[in-house]
Amino acid sequence: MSIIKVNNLSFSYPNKETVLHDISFTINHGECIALLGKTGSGKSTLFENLIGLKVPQTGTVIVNELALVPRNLKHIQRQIGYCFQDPNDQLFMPTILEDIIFGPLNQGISKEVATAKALELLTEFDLLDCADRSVHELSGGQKRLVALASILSMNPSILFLDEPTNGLDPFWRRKLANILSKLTTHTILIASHDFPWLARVTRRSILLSHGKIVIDRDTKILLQDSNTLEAHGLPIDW
Amino acid sequence: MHLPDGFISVPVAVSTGILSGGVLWVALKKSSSSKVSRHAVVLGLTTAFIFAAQMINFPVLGGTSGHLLGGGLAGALLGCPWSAILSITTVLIIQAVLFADGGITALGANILTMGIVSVLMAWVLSRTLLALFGGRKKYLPIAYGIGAAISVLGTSLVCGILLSLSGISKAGIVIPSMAGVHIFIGIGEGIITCTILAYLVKVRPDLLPGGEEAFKGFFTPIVLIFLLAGVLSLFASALPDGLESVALDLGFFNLAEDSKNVVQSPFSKYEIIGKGQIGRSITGLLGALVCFGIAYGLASIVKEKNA
Amino acid sequence: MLDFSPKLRLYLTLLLIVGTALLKLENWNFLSIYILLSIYWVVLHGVKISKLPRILSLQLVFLFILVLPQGWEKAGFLLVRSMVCLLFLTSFLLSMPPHSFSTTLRSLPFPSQIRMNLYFTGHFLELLKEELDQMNTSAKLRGLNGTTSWLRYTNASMVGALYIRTLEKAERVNKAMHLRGFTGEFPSDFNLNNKERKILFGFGISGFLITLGSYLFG
Repeated sequence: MSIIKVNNLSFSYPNKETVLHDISFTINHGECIALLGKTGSGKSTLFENLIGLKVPQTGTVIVNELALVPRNLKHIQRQIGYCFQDPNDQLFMPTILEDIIFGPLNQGISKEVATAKALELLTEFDLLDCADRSVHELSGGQKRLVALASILSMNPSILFLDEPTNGLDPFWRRKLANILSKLTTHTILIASHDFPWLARVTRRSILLSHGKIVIDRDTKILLQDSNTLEAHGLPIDW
Repeated sequence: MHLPDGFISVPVAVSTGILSGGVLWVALKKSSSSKVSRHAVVLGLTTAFIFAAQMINFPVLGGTSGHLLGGGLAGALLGCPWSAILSITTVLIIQAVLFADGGITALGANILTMGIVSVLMAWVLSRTLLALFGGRKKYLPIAYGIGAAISVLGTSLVCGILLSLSGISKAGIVIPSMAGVHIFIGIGEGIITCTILAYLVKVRPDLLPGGEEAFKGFFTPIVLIFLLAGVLSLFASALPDGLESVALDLGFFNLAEDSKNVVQSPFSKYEIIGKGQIGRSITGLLGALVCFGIAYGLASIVKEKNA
Repeated sequence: MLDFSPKLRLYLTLLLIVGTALLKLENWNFLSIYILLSIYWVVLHGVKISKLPRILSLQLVFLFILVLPQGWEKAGFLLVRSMVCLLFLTSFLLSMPPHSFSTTLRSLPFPSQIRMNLYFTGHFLELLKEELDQMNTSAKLRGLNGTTSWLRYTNASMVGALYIRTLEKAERVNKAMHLRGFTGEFPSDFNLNNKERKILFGFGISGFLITLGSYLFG
């Protein structure tokens, strides 16, 4: 069953050349997909179009059978959890616990229920002792997990992760991979260059090049095709 | 309020320019010894932060929203009023030159009001209040919040005076108009400043500098005198005190009115004829200053004797 | 004239503003010279007419109303004089390339410490504004809404978090600069070449004579 359907989406910034050309693809429920492409290929722009932060010039986006139009925007955004490239952009409350319950409180969930869920997530991520600490005391890896927890606490059915392993050491990369592998009921789209990590976490890969989808294939098969990746600016040996 | 070009007169523009230049020169000299301003990057980034924070629309009270002005906050973050003056001056120059917000010829006046009066008033009031609260950091947000709020009112009064000196309007019209609008802006400023500092006190109290002693000696008591005798006296109850009340009840109140003064005082009954409320404020101030002077003189004599 | 460097055009703009602002009150003849010059300045910089209405701000309207009891002519003169000054500056600003703030600020003739402050502020302002915008976006995507005090608490937390990150960034930038030999002083950047000095001098003298003329022949 498709959860995201994109048809002929094109986007360009005002007075600039087109960034996304006629993009079409379907994502099914429960899939974990890698979005590949060299810097400037349009990955973050595509995310922003899918979540309604930017409006495409042409094309349609359907999320859970709802068209991405202004009247449905709030409802759709509640279903998508977006983890920014820089976790600092998401974490600004005085304590970690407050950051995680921020979303649920805005949804109208009571503080007690939200706090219970937040503590559950922190326990799962082995960060329970950080609950009353401020984000500024955490390491990069801890911040990344807390940012993810702040999204998961809202129970989204879809997750967008933008370069989630940036700046993480192997310990945190593995931890993040283990957590994502347990999220079998969520549909996940990950923009990243971390090929070995993506090979473990995702099944399918979509490759963007010059704003177009050039390849949509099984991740492991694609990552073995170094010539194709090299041709699209992603030399895998490096 | 940012005064634009073309509305203030040449004498006001020139004199405020010279006055602001003088204070800035002092600020440059004094801030170079400050821990924060020693690093140009830190001062520059703090200034950029204040500018960025001014762009946020803060919900204030009951559906209204406002923008931070930053005079009080700059003092709290930098821990030195002279650095804060440089910081806000930088913001005002950028606003004038790059955003056409505030005139070029009015820069001296705008720096005087929003960069100097605002910062110094917020600093003195906040430090005095903090000292009254025992100097504990947990009271820092409320102290600076109140200081920032009152400083906005003070700034608007000075702005009104400059406009009336420029012949824009009579003082009796422009000053109350400015003050009336800025009371609400001041409340907003106080709430925003207090809320931001409360966050920092909760999360990183170590980042809030202790506050260098910019004004030693008698500034704190003088500020207190000004507040009590000059401002609070305006709200003194008009009801008769205990003795007057008894005299009224027993019918001998008019005996005092019939007596003749040995010396005619221009400040009889704590009033100045024809000056209304302001007259009461002035007499309160004068009386307090005379008492302070006598007490200081006596204390000096006693101190010399004991030495 | 657009061949002139942004620095020279900035100085010329500032001269024109000062000349206009110091004109004698209610001398419409001399103000009309600056009105014509301001129209020329707008055309020269290729400013779109649609961007001009923003020079009439609420503050100007408020001040105009304050002066009105003293007569329409005086109030009108002050308003028009102020708007002419804004026309000069707005035309110049709208013609500036984006992200050139810090370079422009560094060329202003202020003492070294203020110049450095202007430079760092201009340089980092966009970055900090972007960080705040990102935090705002993240909050909105997480459904930010509620009472005034909750919204205020959230905004204050964002600003507070930004301050902490700003200080940490400042320390890193400071170390990076010192490792590359920064001694605490920027070289000054307001020297003009001979041709530019002559142009500036010519404009300066002309502006001074026009303004002086408004007092002598008013």
